[in-house]
Amino acid sequence: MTDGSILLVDDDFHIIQVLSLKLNNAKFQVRTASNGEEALERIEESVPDLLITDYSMPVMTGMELVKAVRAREDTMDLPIIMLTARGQTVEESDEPAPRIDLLMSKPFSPREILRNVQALLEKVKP
Amino acid sequence: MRHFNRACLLPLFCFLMILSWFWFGLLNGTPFGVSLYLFIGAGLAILVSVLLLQVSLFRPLAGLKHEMMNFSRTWLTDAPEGFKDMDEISKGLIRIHDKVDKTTFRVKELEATINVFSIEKKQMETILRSLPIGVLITDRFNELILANDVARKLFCLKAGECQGQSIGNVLQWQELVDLIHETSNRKVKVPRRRMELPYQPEEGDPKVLRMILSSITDNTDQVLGVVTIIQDATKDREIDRMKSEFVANVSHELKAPLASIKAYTEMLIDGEASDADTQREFCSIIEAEANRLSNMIDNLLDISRLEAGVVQMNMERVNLIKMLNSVADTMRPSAEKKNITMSTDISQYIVPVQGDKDQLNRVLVNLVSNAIKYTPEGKTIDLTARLEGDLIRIDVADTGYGIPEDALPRIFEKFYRVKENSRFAKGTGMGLAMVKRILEIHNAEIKVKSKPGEGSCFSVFIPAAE
Repeated sequence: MTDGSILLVDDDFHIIQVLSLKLNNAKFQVRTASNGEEALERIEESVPDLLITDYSMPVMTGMELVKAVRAREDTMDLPIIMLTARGQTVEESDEPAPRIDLLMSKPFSPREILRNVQALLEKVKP
Repeated sequence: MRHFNRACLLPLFCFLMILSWFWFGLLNGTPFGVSLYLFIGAGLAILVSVLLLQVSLFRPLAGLKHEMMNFSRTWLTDAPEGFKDMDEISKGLIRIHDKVDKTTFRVKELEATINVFSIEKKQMETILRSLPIGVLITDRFNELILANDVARKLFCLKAGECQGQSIGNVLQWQELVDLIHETSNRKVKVPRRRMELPYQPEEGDPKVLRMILSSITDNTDQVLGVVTIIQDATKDREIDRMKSEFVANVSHELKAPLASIKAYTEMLIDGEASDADTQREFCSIIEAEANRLSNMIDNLLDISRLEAGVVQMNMERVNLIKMLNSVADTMRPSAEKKNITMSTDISQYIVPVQGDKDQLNRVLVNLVSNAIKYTPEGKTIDLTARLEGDLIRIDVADTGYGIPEDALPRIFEKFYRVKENSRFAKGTGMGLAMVKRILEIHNAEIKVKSKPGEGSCFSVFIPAAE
């Protein structure tokens, strides 16, 4: 029995390792991807309860991934946390920006990520 | 003749002399008839001489007087009513002469002043024309007085054709025309107006132009015209953009290891790593990430020091054969991770070069590392070196993504990253700028050939040591 499924997308192996362990320890089921394209493949396999993605990634950026996710009918309301090293705002060129539930700036605290994941899932609980 | 003239004294004196001689002749017994004939003959001679004198002297003098009267009436406000005698004529002539002298002097003075003004005008025009910024000068009717070379080039104006024409007819850029009109139409003098506007020339890339408009005014602050100074700020904006991009890239790159250090440390504190092996692994990662962060900061400082020219180079004879083989051996594992085959062909005839060993090593590592980063899995990289005259040529050729033609001239710029390739690998855009700077210090050169989708070849030419 898990508290929910989370798709974690980042090209940085260390972020993947740390957050996977933190969320796994908190009884979440975690799947990972290293870029947007891989993430869309994982979503195609099964839709997660929450998506955590990095902003800057090769092949397909975090913002492109969010746009693709919001364009899908089954994931248009999926809670999304975006990790960014560029502060709390995304670049103007990304406008019109798709809805992102929470922007978290790097370096982040795994504790804080866990708290936010739990809060967001609580909000969307039926 | 209205006035008795001094010149008539001479014939009168002659007449009296002859009359005396006539009486004297009579008294001495000369016959009356002979004396009378002599008297009449002498009188006639005197009359003729008087007439001749009048014709030859007084008529020209009367003409001269008439001319002078005309002249004085026409040119001199304080001209005398008339001339009573020769003294007056000569005095008048002297006065006229003086006035003519003064007038000639003033005319010459004015000519000299005009000359000075004309030289100063030419100097000013030469200065304005040779300024590295654009200058447009318009009069109160918004007609173009002057457009220097930069302004003409910027707005594609033809020399000579535009002068005296309305600025609205000459300039195709309505925004600037409106600004000039607005500045010249202001009743009261306004401080200088500064602004930056995007400008799309008829040919070429869009530009950003920085402009200063100032009105030219007279003593009563009436606007006589407008001076517009135009500076091409495109490069400044581009540098600003590159700086912002650099700060974003650098902060992103620096935050990545910092994020790992922070996250792993917190995990250890929270007891998330349950077993000793995991704890040890986390500690190793923290150490490695701290080293990575330190290296990145060192790189940043190095490039800024190289740019500032304060890096101390330890010049010595460097054996490039040894160095190239060592670089190939060091980098091969990274290539193999991507299943990239790295081959080397290093000529044994390469002579040593004079250089800083560490810096040259850095150049080679950077070029090979870039080749690995921007070459897809399963492809090849060739590292070759040979002697070409007095130069040692080193080629690092990959079969990677390649560089678009428009990006080629910019790849050695500091902080520049090829947009199309930035998704394949992370970077700060400092590597090639650093390579170029190090090679410049070694009097060496770097060239690049590339074709998108086929790969790139970076060629380094280093002079052989004497």
